[in-house]
Amino acid sequence: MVDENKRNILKIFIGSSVALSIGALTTPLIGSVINTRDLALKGGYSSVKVVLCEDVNNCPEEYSVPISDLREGPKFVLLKKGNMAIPAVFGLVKATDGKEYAAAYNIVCTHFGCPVNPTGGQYLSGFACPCHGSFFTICPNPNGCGGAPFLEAYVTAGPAPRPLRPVKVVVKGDRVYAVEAYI
Amino acid sequence: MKALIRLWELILERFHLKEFLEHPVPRYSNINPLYWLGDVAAMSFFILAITGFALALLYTPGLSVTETPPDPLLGDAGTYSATQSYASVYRIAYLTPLGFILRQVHLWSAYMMVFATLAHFFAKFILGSYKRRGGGALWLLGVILGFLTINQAVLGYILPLHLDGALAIQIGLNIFRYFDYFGIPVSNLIVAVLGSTFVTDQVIKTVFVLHILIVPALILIFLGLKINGILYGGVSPPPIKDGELRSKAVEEKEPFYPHRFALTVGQLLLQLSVILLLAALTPLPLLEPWVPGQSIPPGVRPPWPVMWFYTYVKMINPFISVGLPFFLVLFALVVPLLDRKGGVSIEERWVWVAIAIVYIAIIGYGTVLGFLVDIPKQITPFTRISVPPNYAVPYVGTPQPVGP
Repeated sequence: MVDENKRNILKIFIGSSVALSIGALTTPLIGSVINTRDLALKGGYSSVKVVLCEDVNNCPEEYSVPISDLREGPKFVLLKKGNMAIPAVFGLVKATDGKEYAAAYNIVCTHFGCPVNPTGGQYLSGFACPCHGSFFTICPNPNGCGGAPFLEAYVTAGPAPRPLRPVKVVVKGDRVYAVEAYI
Repeated sequence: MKALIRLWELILERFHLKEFLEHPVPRYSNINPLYWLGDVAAMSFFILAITGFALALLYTPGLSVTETPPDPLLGDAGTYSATQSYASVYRIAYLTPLGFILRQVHLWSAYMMVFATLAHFFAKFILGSYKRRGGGALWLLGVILGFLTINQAVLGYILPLHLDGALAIQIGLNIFRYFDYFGIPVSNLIVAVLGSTFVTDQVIKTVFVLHILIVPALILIFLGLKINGILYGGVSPPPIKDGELRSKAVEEKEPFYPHRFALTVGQLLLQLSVILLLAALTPLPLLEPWVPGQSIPPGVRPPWPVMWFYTYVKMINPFISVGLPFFLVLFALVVPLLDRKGGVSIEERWVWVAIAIVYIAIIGYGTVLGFLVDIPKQITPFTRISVPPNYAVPYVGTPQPVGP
């Protein structure tokens, strides 16, 4: 004999997991077809903000890179604060106004999270993701590039949905300090 | 000698092992290979546990980068800069006595466990073993165990922190952040628990503990439940249409010891020799090292169990193909509720057997195709997910020129 009660519990359990999974799968599909901007939750950005130092004057050396090092090419630094860690690449960006600007980015790709490779040789011009081919270009124009503001690593190719998470840098003396980052 | 025999008999008696050895088993499942695949998976698990004990003693998780001086035999080719995890696996694989064979046996039994789990799933699907009393619950346990097996495989793949393992953990840490779009704060949770979405000492330690402690403990619990269910509920009935013949086959039983016991030992020895042969003929090399911040060559090399999925993701629109494994798992969960009428023979269940064959064909075709051809990535209108603008961080810094 089949216990009908047990069957029903199993049906509810499996039915709800089916419904959940179908919902999870179709939500982004529907979201990509219709405009979900108005439906999107207003509650903050999903990245976590990490303040590395409040003031650049007492910022520890481990959050900084000498500018002379950056002149040779982009530098990788794992910024550690407590149990948090941000993989950052520091570099100099050659802007269209002829000046060099210091910048740093969290190199976790915004698509699936592979660490991205800096491109541009001696200067930092963008990032390429080795996994799924996303390409991020650092806006070199002080007036902005289309929708992207100056120095933003915006997506120019591939499946990444949004720009690379930036690291706020401050130049003090002959060093570039990271003062604020996003995970 | 007599004392030893007496002790053995005492152990058998006091722990009621005699009842276990004498429990009746049907004869029809002795030779049929469809009934042995679950055994292969379970035995692989125990081989993995034993080799894993030794490996866990030798392995040290960690991300501190060490520079290895040139090897007197290899010269400059022996120099490498790698994380502590990689260096310890390198030491196990190439510098520890018997370490090479230990790692190979662990790897090949892991692959064998994944393969046997899949094959066992299809074998029981073809036999319709969820149709007997209690079969549905065992089927559900099997799906859970399959999920845990895949988890173990991925976690073990990450631990050496070679190039592919490092990419695997990076993707694993970040892929679930897409749940943020549905309002589920996954990234906050990851940062709260692990502190980073980049592989750090804390992350690799967590992966290590999951791989050697938590997931195996769960597998052991569910496997114990499943073995108990089979011990008292019996194996699936034979796929014979004639009811009289079927009940005759089910009732024709013999004690587990000695015949089935000998077959089980033989199966274990055969399996061990296959694993040793595979390790000897096709040893799996340790992939190249990875250090944080290093530039990574483009191109992803998925391991064979997920090759089929990778092929379809590149071939078909990602929004359909990404859902493929979810669909297959859901189908596996729902199938005992759909396939309820009729008997268990192939003639009565030919539709379901055909579905199983299509299912196997999809996985097999994708795997073979993935290894044969390199399919370029497809770009579709759905490839890029449209994101609400307030989800993106604008550039935060105040641009500061450097130098003159």
